[in-house]
Amino acid sequence: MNSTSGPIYRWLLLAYPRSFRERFGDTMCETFGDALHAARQEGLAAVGRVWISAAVHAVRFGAGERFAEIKRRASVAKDASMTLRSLSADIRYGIRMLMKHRGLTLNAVAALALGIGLTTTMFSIVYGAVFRGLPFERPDELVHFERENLETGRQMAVTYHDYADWRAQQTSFVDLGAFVEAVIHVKSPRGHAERNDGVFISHASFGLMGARPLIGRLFSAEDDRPGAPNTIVLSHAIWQRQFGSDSAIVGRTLQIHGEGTTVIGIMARGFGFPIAEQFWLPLRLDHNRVERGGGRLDVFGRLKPGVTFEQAVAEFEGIAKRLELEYPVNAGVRATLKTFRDEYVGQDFMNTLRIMFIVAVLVLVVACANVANLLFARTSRRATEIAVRTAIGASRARIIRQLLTETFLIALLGAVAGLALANLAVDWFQSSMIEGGGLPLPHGPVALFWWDFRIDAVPLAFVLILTLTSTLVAGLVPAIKTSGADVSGILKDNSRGSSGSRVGRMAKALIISELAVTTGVLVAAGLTVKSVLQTMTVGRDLSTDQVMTARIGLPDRRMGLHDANYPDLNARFRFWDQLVHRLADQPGVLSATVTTNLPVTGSGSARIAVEGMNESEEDSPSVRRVVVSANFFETFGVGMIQGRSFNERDQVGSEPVTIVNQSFADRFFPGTSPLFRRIKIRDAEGQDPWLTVVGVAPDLWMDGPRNRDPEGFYIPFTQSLMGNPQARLGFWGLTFMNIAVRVRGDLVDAPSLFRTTVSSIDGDVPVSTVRPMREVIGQRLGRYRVYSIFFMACGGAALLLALIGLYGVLAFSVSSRTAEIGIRMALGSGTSRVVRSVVTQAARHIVVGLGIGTLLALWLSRGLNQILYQVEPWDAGVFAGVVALLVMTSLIACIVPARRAARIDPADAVRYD
Amino acid sequence: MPAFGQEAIDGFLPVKPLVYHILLALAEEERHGYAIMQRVRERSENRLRLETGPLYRQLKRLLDEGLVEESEHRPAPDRDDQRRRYYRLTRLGHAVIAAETERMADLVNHARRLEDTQQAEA
Repeated sequence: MNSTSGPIYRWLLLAYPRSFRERFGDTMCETFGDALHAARQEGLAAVGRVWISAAVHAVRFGAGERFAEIKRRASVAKDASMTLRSLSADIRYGIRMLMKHRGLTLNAVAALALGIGLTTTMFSIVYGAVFRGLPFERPDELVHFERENLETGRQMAVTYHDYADWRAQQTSFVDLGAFVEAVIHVKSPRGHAERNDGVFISHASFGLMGARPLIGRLFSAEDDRPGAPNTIVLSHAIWQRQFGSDSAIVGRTLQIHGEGTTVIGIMARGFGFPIAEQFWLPLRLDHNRVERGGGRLDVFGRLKPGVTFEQAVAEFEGIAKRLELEYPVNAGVRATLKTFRDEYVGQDFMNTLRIMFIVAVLVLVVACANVANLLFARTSRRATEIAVRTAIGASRARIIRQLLTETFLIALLGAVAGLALANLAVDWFQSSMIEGGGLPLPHGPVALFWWDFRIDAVPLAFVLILTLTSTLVAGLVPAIKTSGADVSGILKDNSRGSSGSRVGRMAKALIISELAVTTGVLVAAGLTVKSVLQTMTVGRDLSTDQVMTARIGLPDRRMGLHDANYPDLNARFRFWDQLVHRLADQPGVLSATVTTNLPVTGSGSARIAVEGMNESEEDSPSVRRVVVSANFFETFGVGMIQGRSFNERDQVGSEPVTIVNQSFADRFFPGTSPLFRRIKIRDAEGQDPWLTVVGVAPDLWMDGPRNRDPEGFYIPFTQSLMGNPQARLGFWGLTFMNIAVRVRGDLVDAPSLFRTTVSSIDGDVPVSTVRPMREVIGQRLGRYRVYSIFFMACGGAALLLALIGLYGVLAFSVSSRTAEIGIRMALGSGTSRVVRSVVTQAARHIVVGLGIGTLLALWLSRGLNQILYQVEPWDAGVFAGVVALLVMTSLIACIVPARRAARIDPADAVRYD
Repeated sequence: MPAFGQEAIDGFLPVKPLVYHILLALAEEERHGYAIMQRVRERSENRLRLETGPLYRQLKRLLDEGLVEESEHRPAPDRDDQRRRYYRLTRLGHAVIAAETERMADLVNHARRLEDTQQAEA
């Protein structure tokens, strides 16, 4: 049995008496698993049959077994036995009724399965992401620190000196720990260098988290001392995957960044602090060697027992003020404290999840409304039967219980089917959201190490609660209404099994609530669909089919890596220059380029001056800046709008040149040609030369997919070391670069092409993230695309349910008016007048429903902003479209039954029962 | 079968068809739950589909009545799940299925003779 069907079946087994369960539970699970496995070979229908029969048998035989057990215990009070006997009778009767009305049962079960399935999916996701808990002791005490510039509102990392001062001065925390996220280069047993995620971490951190090694030890103060022997701790996962769970690895030496490093421990399974790390290296801080204001750290601490978060915030306010007085660098700088969970899960993702959860619950509400309506229609037809039972002495409570039992059985079947649905959906979430880059997390779309999306005990308990709630919501109103009917009235006049006014009130409530909820859900779906359509335009100007990319990083001391081979920018420049030329010479490569940023993935920025326009120091707008080698535009199949592309003649000695994009040209040179105008990067030292514009390129999403500030310019790679290289290349320039090649034919060979070419220059440089350009863009858009699938599923489900529901309500209320319609027809009323009267009657409720729905939609859509691509949450087109769609749907639901009623022969209609 | 009085055996007769199928499956060899389900389905040419719930309800009754017992037999642990339990017929179980088979055979013989006589008369 797979991981989910096991708990679900166990949950079903709860229907059996405990003694039976204890005796046979395990082996039954095993047998059921075999049966399910065999059914899977036969197809979906067989799987469905196995589950449905398991659910039915659980209820039937479970109750039977319980009853048998009660009978055996003669000492049990007779009352209890009677209750159970009648309950068991109720269940058996209920099952008979469900089998008799198969259409209705199927309809109701399908509706609840959709509702319960979607709600359970979202619950499991929210529970797994947020509530299952962090794998630390008392996680709420863990606090993450950043610094904020009060003037600009920008969040900044913590500097070495601030960390040291905070640590010395604070009293609210047990201690503070620090780490730096890094890329770790490990030489694999096959001799390739491989890139892995890891962190440099202070030795005290592990103690604060309560982390324990599985084998060996974690860091001590000695490991942190600058100059100590190199040590490393491996994650459990990497130990299993790369080292075959060999415990003899502890004590051995690995080549990390080209240096011998001793493995001192294996971390306990499932631990990947802070995000999903595979390696931990000691953080050897020597803040005396760094200027004040230097260094970038992530800092966290554990609150002392009894100290509140607010007290800690207040203390750090004081510390920051003291540091501000002492050091000019700290002017206007404050510490910002967040709980660990807030920092890593983040408000954006929480908001998105919240909206998704609400939408799923709304679908469940529509489903319950549908079931309530179906049941009401049926119980109304059974009014005579119920009246007879009441007349011969059944109490009202007894009848309500009978009706609720039937609803419960429907809900139970719905829950089982819903669980199967949720199981698939949670798997889908795991694969497409996480691997597809759909997570709007503060630290990038990487699944956090403590996440675990499974349907186990807590989600199952939630399903049980949902099942009971659905039973009450869907079953109670019809049961109470029908059971409280006027017995003698119904028995006297058989033809009025349901009175018009009662149906009317129920129908009104259903029409309004179904339409309102459906409007809300459909607007959310419509917005996300529109957003996906918008994303299709991204990358339109690029020809990506034959383009493969790779991201390559050179060792860099600023990341704590040993960079002996690349001591300066010239050495780095030579590496990239050589690489791009060697790649271009490979057979099958049409063109190759190296760039700081690929199109659509965002870019660096620079403040600029435009000659003759804004040469004053204060007025220097910030625009996008990217360094590209000569064949960049050719590689992406982009033609120049004006002027020329970069070429090999643009060298350090020649005239400094630039290419601007269309938005840049439109903003700074409106109405004139930008060619041969000059711009300049404003750097602190003022040493960067004027750059002559030699070409205008299309926009190419330099500011990422959202492209809010599209204006940008390009600098030729060959001139990147001119003037002020730091200002031209940005902080990580020439450390991390992207390579793109356009190949003839297949992309399959590209990864090995990159690897062999790179290792022909330097075998210690790892090539990671080799991806087709199409995928690079797809991943940037993942967050917009994957969510829309969820909202479309909810929207589709809600619309289908609403259509069935509205049709059901209206058809039923029209059919109860058949006699009246017959009389009208007999008196000469035409079909169109009859239809009009039905439509007018419903119209008022439809309008109210749509009105409430629009308000609901406005409230919901505000929360969708994070996952919408160039669509406003109040997009009028989507709102109007949804309202029009629902008006049409409602009209069809009105007109079809009305026309049918009007076609009946008046003589038949008057006799209609 | 001297251990049981004829009366004890007759108390179980007639055996329901489903129970008969289960007993027959176990008379062939020791089996675990799913193997019983498979065998019953095979032997009845797909007409009888025994599901997990009903199977164990019947097994419980048969265990309580002493017709079936749990077997200590286990295949090698690497080949099998330790939670799986194997069942076999007790001597009483064998006696009951033999008696039921005999009873049904008598019925069949009786019916055939009746048919033959009718054909002869015609």
